[in-house]
Amino acid sequence: MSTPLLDRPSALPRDALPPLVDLVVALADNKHALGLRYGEWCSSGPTIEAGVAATAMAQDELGHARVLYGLLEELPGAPHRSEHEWAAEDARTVGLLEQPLSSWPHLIVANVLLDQALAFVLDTALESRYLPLRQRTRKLIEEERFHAIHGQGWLLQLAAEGPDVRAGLEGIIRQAWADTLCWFGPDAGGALAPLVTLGVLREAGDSVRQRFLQMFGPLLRGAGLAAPVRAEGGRWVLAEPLPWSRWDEARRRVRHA
Amino acid sequence: MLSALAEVNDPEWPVSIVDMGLVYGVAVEAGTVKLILTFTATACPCMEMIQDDIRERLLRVPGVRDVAIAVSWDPPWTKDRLSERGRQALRRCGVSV
Repeated sequence: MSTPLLDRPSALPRDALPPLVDLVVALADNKHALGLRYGEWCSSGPTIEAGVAATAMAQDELGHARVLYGLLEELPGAPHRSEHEWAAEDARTVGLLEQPLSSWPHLIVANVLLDQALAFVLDTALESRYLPLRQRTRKLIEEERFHAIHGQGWLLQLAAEGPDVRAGLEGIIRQAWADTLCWFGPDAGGALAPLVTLGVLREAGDSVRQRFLQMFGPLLRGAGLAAPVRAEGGRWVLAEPLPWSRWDEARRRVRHA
Repeated sequence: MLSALAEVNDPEWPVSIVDMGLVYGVAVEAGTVKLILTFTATACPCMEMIQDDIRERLLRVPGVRDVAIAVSWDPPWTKDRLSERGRQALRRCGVSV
């Protein structure tokens, strides 16, 4: 017998609302911020085509923020958000997006690392029992497919330019690493665990992080880049522990050291 | 209602929203047209313009007093939703479909 869908906010158990609101706010705010940051490169990419691609991705991310902010409007207790107005004081974004992406390699690392991490988390809602979330997710995932192709292609192209560029990329990846890898949540899922139990998400925490590492490890090796991930027993694993003591679960970000 | 909606064009192409495959459902209840609509992309810059055009056209249909539009992303729009007439119009504009 299949589990019935939760077709409206009032069908959600009361204790499911805070973690769902926190997750959607963080997803949407990060997408909003990514859109703004990509947009800063609309006319200044290394080639005209790169600027056009940054423009298209910026537009997509702002569209995704709009769709997810629409989801918040239905959820009791959710803060007000709009794609037209940046919630500067309350925005729940990762540290990498607090400042402009200062070079094209910074944009590519944000694209291939953070943007894809958000997509991996969204993917866990593809078959969500919470219908309003499920109905929005597939479209967003489909549009993200092009961002992944863009980021991976550019990462390989940049890395092939030589050791100086590779060293620069490795530094940026290291800077964004903890923020991104913690984003999936503590091993057992943390605040998202009740949403997994309820069927709102398929999985959370380390299982999502592991799937991400199996995608990202081979990409880094193919690019000849060193990073805090290593192959072990046929799998890619973290080479260093993540800074969980600085993880802010509600805001889904690593606090500054 | 569909013939009235077929007079509302996508602002970017000479193709109606019906031939574009954007209309997922239409019903009329007590003078209110209830429309389920999608867009080609979440970043579509013409969402509000298209909805305004729809309201303007449907409110000219005798008996229609209100228009309620619900946006749906499920199933996601793909070019498979284009009608043959829509495909031909896009091909004339140089779009490969």
